[in-house]
Amino acid sequence: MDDGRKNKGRVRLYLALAAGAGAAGAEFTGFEIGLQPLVALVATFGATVGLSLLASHSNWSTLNRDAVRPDASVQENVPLESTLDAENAGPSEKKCDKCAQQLPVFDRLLEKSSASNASVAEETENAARAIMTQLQSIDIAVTSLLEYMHSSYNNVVTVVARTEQGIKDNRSIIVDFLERRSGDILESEARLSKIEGMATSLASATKSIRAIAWQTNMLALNATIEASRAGEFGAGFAVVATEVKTLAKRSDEAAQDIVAGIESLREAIRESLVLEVKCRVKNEQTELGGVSSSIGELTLQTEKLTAYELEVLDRVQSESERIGDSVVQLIGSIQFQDVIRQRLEHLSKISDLARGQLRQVSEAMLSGLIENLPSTKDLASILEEEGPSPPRRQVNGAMVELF
Amino acid sequence: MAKTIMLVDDSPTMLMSLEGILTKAGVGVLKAVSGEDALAKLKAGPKPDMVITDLNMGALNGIELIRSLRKMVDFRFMPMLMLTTESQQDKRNEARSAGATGWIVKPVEAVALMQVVRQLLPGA
Repeated sequence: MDDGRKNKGRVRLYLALAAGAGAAGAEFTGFEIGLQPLVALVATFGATVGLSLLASHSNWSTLNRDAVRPDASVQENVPLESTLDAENAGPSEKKCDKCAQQLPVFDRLLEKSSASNASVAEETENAARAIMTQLQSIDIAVTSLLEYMHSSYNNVVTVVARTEQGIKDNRSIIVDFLERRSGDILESEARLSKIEGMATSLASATKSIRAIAWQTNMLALNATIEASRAGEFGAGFAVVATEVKTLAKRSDEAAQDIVAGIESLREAIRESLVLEVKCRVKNEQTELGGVSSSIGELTLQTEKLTAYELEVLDRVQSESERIGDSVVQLIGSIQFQDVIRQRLEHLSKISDLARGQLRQVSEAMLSGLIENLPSTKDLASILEEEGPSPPRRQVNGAMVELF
Repeated sequence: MAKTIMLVDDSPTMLMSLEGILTKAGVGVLKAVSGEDALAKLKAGPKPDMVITDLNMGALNGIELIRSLRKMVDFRFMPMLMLTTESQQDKRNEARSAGATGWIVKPVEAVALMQVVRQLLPGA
């Protein structure tokens, strides 16, 4: 019978060990803990064991042709058992002993592999904890930053509202002031009109005085004529008439002086009250117009600054939230460590079973009692087991099943 | 009122990861490191709104934990999810028979976990 077929079970077992170790090692590369040498060791070991058994099988299987009868129920499922076929019994016990003496080496290799698996699982767990701690620190920092952003945003909004209200109040004060100053001009003009009216009344009064002076003069003239006609008897009366005439003339001159004085007074008031006030208000309006324009410009710049600040805050906030989401995803990704740990534990379980099996095989070979060979049920059973699922990415909760 | 979920897992990494995801979403967390620990804590109270348990945890595994809890009046209708690396159908069937509400294969992403939590616990 063909040696390759006879050893198919063993080769399957150890190559499964090697492949399992290789897969686990590949998954650990992300943790950067240097598993590759171990993977290479186990892979080499698996191949070596398979090949060694293959090489030694022709001797070992001939220990006792009749004794190497597989259990019927196991034979159906376990190719390993079927390799111990009666047809292959034959060669010498010496060769078999030599072969059995080599088996402890593989036991030690498997022991080392198992210990390394446990060590790797522990190291990855420590690494995962360290990563989690760092992620929690990042999460705290991001959360704190987000809270600060919320707080800053609210503060900026409050400051902006206050600034806008202040600017609005200032503009309102300026507008009110300018309106009041315009009112002052109108009031001054009204007062001046009143004074002008009073001056006009006074001018009219002086006209009456002049009319009276004229009539008095005419009366004095008539008195002079009548005094002349009375001759010597009217001489005294003529003197009185001349004096009255003089008084009338002086009254008229005084009235004219009053009219001129009123006119001069009116001009003086106009100049001082209206022109000066108007000029001053005009200057104030010009200056306040400049202030108002500056406030307008300031308002515009403040609005631009505010809009920019709010945009920056929005951006920082959305980026912080994005970082926060990524941190949560990373926290979820740490679960890969547990999956790897369970796969390594599964691998160790296989190694331990294989070690036990090797030990018993070795003992059976050394004792020369082939009936002492152990059952391969457990090994066959673990080969059939699916074991922990390899880590995989989930899409839309495809790995979630609700019953 | 904030919902509370009990996490049962013998892996500190898993507990840290799930706790991180749930607390970020505003869900309260109670933790147990084995089936026995979970049973003791649940009996002592306070009572959570949901249980998420690992499968392989030594003496009292996740399925047995759920089976034990379902026998108690307080936990008869509480959502209980299995979260495990195992994905074999026979195990799933066993969990369903024991009274599990659902089965999640590790590792579970934050979004997927919160989706199923919110589906089972509206308001979480």
